[in-house]
Amino acid sequence: MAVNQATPIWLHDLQHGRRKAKERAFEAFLDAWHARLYSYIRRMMGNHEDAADVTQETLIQIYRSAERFEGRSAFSTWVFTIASRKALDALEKRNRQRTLDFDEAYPLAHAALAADALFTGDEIERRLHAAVIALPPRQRQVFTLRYFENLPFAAIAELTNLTEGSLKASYHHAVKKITQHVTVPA
Amino acid sequence: MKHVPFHPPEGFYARQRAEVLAAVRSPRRAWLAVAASVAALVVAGIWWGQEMPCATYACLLESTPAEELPVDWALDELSEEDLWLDLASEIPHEL
Repeated sequence: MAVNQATPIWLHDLQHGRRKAKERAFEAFLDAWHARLYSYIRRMMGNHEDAADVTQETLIQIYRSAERFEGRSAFSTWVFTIASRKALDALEKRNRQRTLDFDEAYPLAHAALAADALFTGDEIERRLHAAVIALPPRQRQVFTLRYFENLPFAAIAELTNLTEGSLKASYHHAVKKITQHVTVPA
Repeated sequence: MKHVPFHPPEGFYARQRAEVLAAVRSPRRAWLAVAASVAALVVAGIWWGQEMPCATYACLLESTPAEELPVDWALDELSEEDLWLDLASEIPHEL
């Protein structure tokens, strides 16, 4: 694995350490990543309960498969790949019966956020997040990784197996839909 | 990372951290528990599998079908005292 400045110092132990060293490295990983992963997954899932379950599965998966990280991509890309797969799987199970289109999903998401005691944002933020939740899961993933997590398109392409061109198109399509709801009174 | 306008419930991160750490440690504990259970079963199996020779006629009466009772063996091997004391103490109603 190529070691560079972006490589966390605990990564080697997380991958190759013996039991105690690996557990200590995992605790350091949790210090650095727990809240960030929860926020990403929460944006993907739209509510705390589902986000909590998916975050837990993601963290356990990362511990168990850390030794399979080969360093061909950035560690953050690898972490978001696992989190995205877990979130998309959970969304697919949840939406198996019926997937709403954007205009149907947006008012429901807005009302859910208005009633959510754990959401502390103002009206603009509520509209922004309701619009994100109303996006189809793949588009939501791309928008969240790019806009909220600041991942470059090249990294998103790597973790989604899509071309940068199609990702940019998907992202701009999402921005267009979201802007419409954030700027116009709900 | 941009501003996060939502927060998990109080204590969520600490609770989940404890649960996750317990989960990643549990396979080892589970293996130990399984190994201990298997060992206990093997020991119990060996113990139960052993033929416990009857030392009294009362024991033979209980554990052997009537037609297979080694009456001659009992008469030869057991003393009068063993034979009758045991019968008297364990199945007095048959006397």
